[in-house]
Amino acid sequence: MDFQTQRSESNKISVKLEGSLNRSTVPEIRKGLLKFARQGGIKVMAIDLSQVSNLDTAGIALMVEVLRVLSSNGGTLRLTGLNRNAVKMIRLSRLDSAFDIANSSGSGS
Amino acid sequence: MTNTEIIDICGLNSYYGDRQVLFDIEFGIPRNRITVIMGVSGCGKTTLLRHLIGLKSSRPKELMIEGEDMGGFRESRMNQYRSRIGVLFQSGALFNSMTVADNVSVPLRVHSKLHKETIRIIATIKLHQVGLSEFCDYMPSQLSGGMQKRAGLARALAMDPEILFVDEPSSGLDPITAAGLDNLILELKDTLGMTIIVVTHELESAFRIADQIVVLDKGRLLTAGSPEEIQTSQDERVVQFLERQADQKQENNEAYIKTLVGRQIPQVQD
Repeated sequence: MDFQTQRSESNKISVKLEGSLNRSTVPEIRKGLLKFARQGGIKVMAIDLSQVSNLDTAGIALMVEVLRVLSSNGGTLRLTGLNRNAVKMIRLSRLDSAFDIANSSGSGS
Repeated sequence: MTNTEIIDICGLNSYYGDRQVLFDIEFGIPRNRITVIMGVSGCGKTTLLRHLIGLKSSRPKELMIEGEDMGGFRESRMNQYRSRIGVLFQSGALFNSMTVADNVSVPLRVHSKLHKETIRIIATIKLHQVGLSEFCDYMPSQLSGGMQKRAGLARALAMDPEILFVDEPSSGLDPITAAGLDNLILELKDTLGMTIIVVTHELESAFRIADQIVVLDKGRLLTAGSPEEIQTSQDERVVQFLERQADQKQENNEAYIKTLVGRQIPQVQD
């Protein structure tokens, strides 16, 4: 699992994840992702999941942790590029209203 | 075995000591489908479940998992298989000394390197799926039997298993809660493509959720087929099972009396 970050505006950070986001890979990136979320002044973190091939509940739990950190500082988490499977997993976890979900290929299903 | 079958049972025999309880059981469990194993109490369905989850060993070539002989599994391979399955036991089988959330967390603590905070969130998600997210910090003894069963299901789901085994999901539940559990089982299949094996004697629940129904009778495979095939079966014993008729065969009664009295009682002629 790799991730790249880009601070496009002073209060916005974009993160692109690649590979599987599951219970095997979450421990590898958790610390780094939370570190970016804790940066001062972040109002929007946008995570691009279009290159994530496998999302399980551990991956969703990590998104919840990131959202917690951002929310505590008045920020929001936007998830983009979700495939159909990712949307289903988030819905099954009853968290579709917790995230700002955009550009999801499976959002209409 | 076809490539649609994730588990193939090929002539499984099972014993408790010298007593044989399963006789040459043979059928396949299709991937991404719900298979319901039915039969009256004592027919061997829970024993079959114990074989499928590796709690009871099988002889070579009796049980194939994706074409691999489960009878030849070493401990590490068996642990690998167990990390891919979830099991809801009939009793719920919760640890009484742990909170409900800690119970759900156990498989993740054992089989993953996830941070405790991530695990806590997963436990809450799974408990919410079964309607118990408000009871994370309760002890099992503070829950009703039905709630304990649902907590057990949350634990079975903690690892996002590919194969879910459920033993008597409806027992001890009121009809509304039981129907809710059936709906969740259907949702897990439809949403995640999970392969689910349910052991039950509840006809209504079986016909609501099953893609395939397997009926056992006295340790033998009576029939296997789609719910429609089972419902329209002309087999006398299948019909009898569906009509919930008690099996009152005379030879069983004679054996019972012989056990009690110690000898055969001659039948009185009218």
